Amino acid sequence: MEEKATLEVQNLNIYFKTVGGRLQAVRNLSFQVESGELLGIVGESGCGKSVSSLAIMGLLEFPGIAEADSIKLMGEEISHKSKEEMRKLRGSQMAMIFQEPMTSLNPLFTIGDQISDTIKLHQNCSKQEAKERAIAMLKKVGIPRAEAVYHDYPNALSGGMRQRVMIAIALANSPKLLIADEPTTALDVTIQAQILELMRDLIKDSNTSIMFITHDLGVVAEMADRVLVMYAGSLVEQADVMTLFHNCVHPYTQGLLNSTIKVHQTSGELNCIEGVVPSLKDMPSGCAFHPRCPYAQEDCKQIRPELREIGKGHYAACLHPLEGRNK
Amino acid sequence: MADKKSRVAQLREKFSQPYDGEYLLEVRHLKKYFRSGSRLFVNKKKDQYVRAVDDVSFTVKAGQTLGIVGESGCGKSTTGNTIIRLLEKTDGEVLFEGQEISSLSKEEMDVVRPNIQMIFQDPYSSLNPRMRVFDIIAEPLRTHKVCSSQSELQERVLSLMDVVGLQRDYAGRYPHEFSGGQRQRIGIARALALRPKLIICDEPVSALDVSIQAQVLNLLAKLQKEFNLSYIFIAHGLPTVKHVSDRIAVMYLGQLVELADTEELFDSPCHPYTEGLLAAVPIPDPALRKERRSVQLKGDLPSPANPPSGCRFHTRCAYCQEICAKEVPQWREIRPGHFVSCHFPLENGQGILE
Repeated sequence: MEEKATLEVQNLNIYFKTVGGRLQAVRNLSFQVESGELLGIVGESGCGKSVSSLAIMGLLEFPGIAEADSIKLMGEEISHKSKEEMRKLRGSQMAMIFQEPMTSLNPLFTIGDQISDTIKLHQNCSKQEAKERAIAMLKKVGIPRAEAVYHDYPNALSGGMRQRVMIAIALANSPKLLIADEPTTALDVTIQAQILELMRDLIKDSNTSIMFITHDLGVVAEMADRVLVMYAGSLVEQADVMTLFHNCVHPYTQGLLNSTIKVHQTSGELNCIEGVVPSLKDMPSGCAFHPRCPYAQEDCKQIRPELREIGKGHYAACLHPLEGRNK
Repeated sequence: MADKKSRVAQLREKFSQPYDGEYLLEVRHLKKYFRSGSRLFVNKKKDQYVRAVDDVSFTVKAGQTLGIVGESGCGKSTTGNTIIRLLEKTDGEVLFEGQEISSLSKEEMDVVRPNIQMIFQDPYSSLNPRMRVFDIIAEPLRTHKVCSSQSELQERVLSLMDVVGLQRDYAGRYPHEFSGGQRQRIGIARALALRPKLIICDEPVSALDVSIQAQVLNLLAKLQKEFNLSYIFIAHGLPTVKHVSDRIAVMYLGQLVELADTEELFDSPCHPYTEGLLAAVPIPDPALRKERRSVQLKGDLPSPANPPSGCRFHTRCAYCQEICAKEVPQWREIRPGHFVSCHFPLENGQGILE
């Protein structure tokens, strides 16, 4: 039997209950994260990338409702697990790094407390052992004076340092799956480069798989092995990173790539995608992207495209995929 | 009293004339210090000051864009706010069309203000949620009593909405009904309302999605051509700044470290900090993944309340020598139009352009 995927999601649908009725935020999302892989998920705000990750972690709260045919972590079904069982998984088998390093640490507890808490909760060890491991973790994520920082409160640390602490907490129990939700968006570009390098180094010598959520294609190009592109709650393209950046077939992916400002190219008029992301309240019929798509045709307005295989491991949901038209 | 009135009248006269001097805006040795600590009364001996902007000088020509980049906390926004006098300077001079404006009285400043406007970073908090789009855009026109009749005001607001690409029927809506990009368009229309000569854009696209960023940047470029505007474009991302700027100033801990034409700065950065900033930008091409990362800035930005001695960058600099910790480097022109403050400027800095 071949090696099991770290995470396997099938037909994830997420709804929000509102006064105006049930709104669908994520539609039939299926994907896998292979063992040791870094999967990038790209999309604009509101495309459903963050709620999907919350749903996988079992952290989606009312009014959000997640329904899935199956969510398997290391081959084990987790979509029907109770709250208590999910709690045991979170922090040990799967962990998450959030976007805001300023708000995701508890200001009332020391850095050390927050790391050793995670360790004590999931591993059978004494206080002293937990402390030693916590300090070792702090050193591993490149925090200077780890012993002193252990007793500091979060307010004593800068944004980059806090994000390092978050990474230390997330990786403290060597989880199988790490979900990083825009981990560097709030940081300066120089600090971002440091954090990305740290994450790369840390996963190199562990078999942790990472789901890396971001809206920055530059970051994806630097980090990911494989990329999912989401638009308005649906997966529109999925490919390995080389194929996606050099041979994308979905007009949305192409638009995203073209509107990214490239620092190493001479400037001119920027290409942009006209229009705005549709609101959940009035999703366009057919392909959700058709009102903004430069190549839209009559049938795009009626038929919702299914995800289909274009090349080996390359999937796209488009009725008229581009061929060699980008560049 | 009469004196005051005549000064205001003089200014009004001056700004109604076309200006043909070399620089639209000239900033000389601008300083802005914030008193830190919780002491209630000023005590010159004991008080600590955060030097948010410390001796910054630059010029902006009419129709040009100056980009200001730097990490958060380097003082780039404070510089913008001090120029437009949302903050009062500690020391220095700001000359707009040759007129010193940083020490004008409130009445005198009212005459200058229509010429300098601002676009803010966060389109979610810079628009009053209780005002309709029409009133938001009309507010500067009403404040400065530009329009003589209601119909003129209406026509002017609606044509501003056309200019920034908002549909006219949106005039009666409230800001919450719009997406981030559209809100930023409202902010731009408001800034344009008084036909300013200079617009200070404080991170106008950082809060927007990639595809929308491109729309807003293109709009700003179009408006610049149409109205011969000058921009001061403040951002933390080098790619954005590169796209819009003619010249770029790099700030570090309250001071300028390098100032040059855009192409020159990207081709051959002279300051190690600029080089590090350039190297840190992720390149959206996986094929180039391994070729870079030779220069990386270590560590965090030091606290501006207690900046390092000598060259402020020496604690993070890969080329740091003994002298760097002792002596403050001079701000000098090493090539025509290319200024840098570094003891050992790079000769073949690793630019990103080939």
